[in-house]
Amino acid sequence: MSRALVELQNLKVTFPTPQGRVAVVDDVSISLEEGKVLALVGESGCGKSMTALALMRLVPKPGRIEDGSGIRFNDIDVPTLSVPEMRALRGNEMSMIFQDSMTSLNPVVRVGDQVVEAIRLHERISYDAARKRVLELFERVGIPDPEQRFSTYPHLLSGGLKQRVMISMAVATRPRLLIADEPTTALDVTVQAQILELLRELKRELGTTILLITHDLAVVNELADHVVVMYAGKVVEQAERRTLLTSARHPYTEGLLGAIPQRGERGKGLNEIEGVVPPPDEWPAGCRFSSRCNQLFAPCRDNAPPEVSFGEGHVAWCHALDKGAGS
Amino acid sequence: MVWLPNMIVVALLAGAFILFRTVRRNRFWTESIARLWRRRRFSLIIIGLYLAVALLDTISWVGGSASENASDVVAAHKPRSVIDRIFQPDSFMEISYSEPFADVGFYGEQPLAHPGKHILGTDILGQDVFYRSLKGVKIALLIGGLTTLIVIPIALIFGLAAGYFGGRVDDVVFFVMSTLASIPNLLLLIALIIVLGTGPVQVCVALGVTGWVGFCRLTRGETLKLREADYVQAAKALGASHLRIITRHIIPNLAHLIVITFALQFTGLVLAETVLAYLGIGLDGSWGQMIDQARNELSRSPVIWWNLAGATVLLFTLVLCVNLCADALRDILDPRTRKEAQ
Amino acid sequence: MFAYIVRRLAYGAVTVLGVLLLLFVLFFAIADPDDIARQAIGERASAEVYEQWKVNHGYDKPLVINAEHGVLEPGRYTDTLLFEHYRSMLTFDFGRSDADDVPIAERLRQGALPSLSLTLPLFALSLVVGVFFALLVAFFRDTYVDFAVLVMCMLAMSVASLIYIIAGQYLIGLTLKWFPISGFDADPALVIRFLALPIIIGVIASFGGDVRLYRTVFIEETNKDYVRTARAKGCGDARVMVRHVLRNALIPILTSVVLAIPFLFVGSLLFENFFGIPGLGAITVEAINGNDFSTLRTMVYISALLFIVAQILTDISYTLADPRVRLS
Repeated sequence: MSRALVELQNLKVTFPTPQGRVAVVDDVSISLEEGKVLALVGESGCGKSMTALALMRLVPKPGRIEDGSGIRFNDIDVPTLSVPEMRALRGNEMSMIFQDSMTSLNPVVRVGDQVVEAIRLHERISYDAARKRVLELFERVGIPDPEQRFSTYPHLLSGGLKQRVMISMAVATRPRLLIADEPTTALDVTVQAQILELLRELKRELGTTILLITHDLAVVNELADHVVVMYAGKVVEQAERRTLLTSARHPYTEGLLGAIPQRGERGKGLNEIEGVVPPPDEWPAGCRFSSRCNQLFAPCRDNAPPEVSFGEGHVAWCHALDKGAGS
Repeated sequence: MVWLPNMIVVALLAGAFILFRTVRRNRFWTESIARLWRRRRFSLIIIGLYLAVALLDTISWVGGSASENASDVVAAHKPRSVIDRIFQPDSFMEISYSEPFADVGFYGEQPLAHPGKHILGTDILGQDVFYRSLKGVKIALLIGGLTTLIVIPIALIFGLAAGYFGGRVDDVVFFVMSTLASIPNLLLLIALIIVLGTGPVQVCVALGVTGWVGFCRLTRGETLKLREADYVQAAKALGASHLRIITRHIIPNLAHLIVITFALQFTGLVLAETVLAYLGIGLDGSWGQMIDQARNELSRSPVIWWNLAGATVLLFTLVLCVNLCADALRDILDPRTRKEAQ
Repeated sequence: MFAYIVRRLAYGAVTVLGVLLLLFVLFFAIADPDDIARQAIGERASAEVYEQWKVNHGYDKPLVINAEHGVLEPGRYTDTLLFEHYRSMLTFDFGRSDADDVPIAERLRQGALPSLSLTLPLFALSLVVGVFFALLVAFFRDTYVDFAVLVMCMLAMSVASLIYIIAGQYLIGLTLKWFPISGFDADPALVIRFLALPIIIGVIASFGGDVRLYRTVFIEETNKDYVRTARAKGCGDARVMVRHVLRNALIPILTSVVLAIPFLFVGSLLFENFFGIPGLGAITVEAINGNDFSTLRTMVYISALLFIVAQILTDISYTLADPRVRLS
């Protein structure tokens, strides 16, 4: 077993509400091995993105990473880093691809210069040298006619090209960790496949560790080694990709899998989960999934679910499974 | 005409009561007002004091002794407000300037008729400055409040019509707006007052004509957006009448804009009046006029400052309190921040 | 594109006609020419003197329809105040002042330079100062610095500009004696001394409102996604502000500011009159005090015309410069 590049211990991110501070990421512990792809899965509003932003210490105000949260990256204790030290890490050792490339690129700066900035923030090289690197990068990520694209503005590029610019910006400094937050959500299906292919190639070539955030289990199947399922700020199940996709145990994960249309099962109807993730201040007291779970019984509403292990790193947190294991 | 100001007071109080009843039934507005009260208690109390002074200065009747040495028959038959009756301005005066709380006149040192009683001293004519400043309250609320009360319905009707129906109606309203908007506000205001005359009604009309454009444009823009909103389209699909859509779906969503615009318009108008007063076309007895009269007194030696101070402080306090409330209201009512709070 | 420009120009022309119509209604239909004459030459002149004055100043015709001409004669419609008003304004033939018979065009020529020498630096300086402080405040948002500046802005916004002028002249001019309290000089070396006081006071007077407005724009920009991207790249707060936020925020700020430029020509009524600067603002105040209707309506017309032209130019240059606008 290779060593962990990222280790989150009891991560807690809170936001103020009229009723006091509410944890949108609550007690999350995840470890990500070097060179592997970890997928963070869940519906929107589950705290996946917030977990990733906390790792980069980019939680937007007035949100806050609570004391006692352990964030270790490459054996560095991230919460204790000074601001300049953190800045030296961001975009250099760890970088991030955002979901909406439409708004995530600065509309009034030429796209090439935005990538040049990413390089020159961390390396003392001339503008021309950086520009040459950017052109190579553009070539590499499949942007046609890099010379000309270098000096255009974001709104003139298609969604796929913009996402390629984002990716080239993220990998420009050859980071050890790449966080990809829903990298394909905003794109057309055909472009999605191309971008996934590109990410896979980059992973192979650069050996980058990837933290992939998605709600799309098809993407998980394409790319991930290990999967962590989150619901309402909590981890509910984690396992190797194959294990999770074939023999998921938690009702929520089963629900997610059931919501995928299967070929050859025409007419059977989807087993999607009813309702949506409630807002953070309405999360139930006991098991957070209890308000939507179809295997509900007595302790679910009041007590936090127990950890149930199935071996080979497959763990789930659920009262129903605990009962099953005990009997 | 004795009854007119009193009727206005009754009408305003009745309007306030109806507004209160309507608001009480709406949870969103009662909560917003409660939040405003929590955040801006002090400002609201001060605004309430101003309103009280203005009301007391409007409720008036004839009779009672006009002044202790009442020889003037005309003065005796003039209606006098509660404030007038408290201060008795005809007798509560000196010969000329006196400092606040002074016992003797500012020039010549002759003893005063009311030593130590003029909180803000007296002006060149010997009138009590505090009394004059209080009289300005009514004028300021008239300029700011009454004008805005006239402007908002007009702007709302035109803005709604233009935004909701579009087409020809929109073309006409937009043309009128862009014509008025292309003339600098102050110049248009001056032109109107010069042509119409300088009475309180004329000045209010002039302020109204220049003031409605901005709010009308805002209403039109919002209505255009709301018209395309899903729930409005849905209501339309269900066969709701135009009137129902406008009153049920559009106006409630404009309400926060109306409230905020009211506050901003109010302060803008009160401040604009000082400029008009400087140009000699303001309202009689306004703070602007007092400030304008007082500015030359600064070059006297020793300086006569209380005249300027009285009007300035009252004006500043009122505008500041309204500004503070407007600011808080924007936070409380803004749909974007509302969503964040959820 | 071409069609758009033509349409925009046509609409601008229609707006100019609308402004002229408004002026006609105000200055000829509502204000009675007889009143104007009386105010100009006094109550006790003979009837002939009034008539002569009205002829000299072009108030002697009927308003809209001249009944002396037949129905089919063009003179029925052209020999009227309405037609004459439109003709003179559109050909920039402004005639003479109602008050002292000086050609108005002459006045405008003389007043433009003093006005601009006050308003241009005032405008530029307010903009720079406002943007600078707003940027600073946005950088320190949600801290005590931000809070303190916001409180200051709120206080500053609640003071009437007349008070700023009076207090500024008293403190800086009379008490500290740094600058002469009023006056003007055509010599550029001397004029700075006269302009310093009104400019300083003007910048202070507009400070509160400007900073608050610009701060809102900046804060809105800092909440956008591209700022998060920049921070994820490793940009520091200061770099994010200057390189990313400022550039984006300047677009809405400059748009709002560009439309204020035509008003600079008209000068500042309050400042010019108060500090004895013989610009267009001071001329307008004189016209107000002297009931000089012809000068007043010319001033209104000129400023509206400049505004409409500036608006058209901004609209067109926007369409040319910003492909996002062009596409939509």
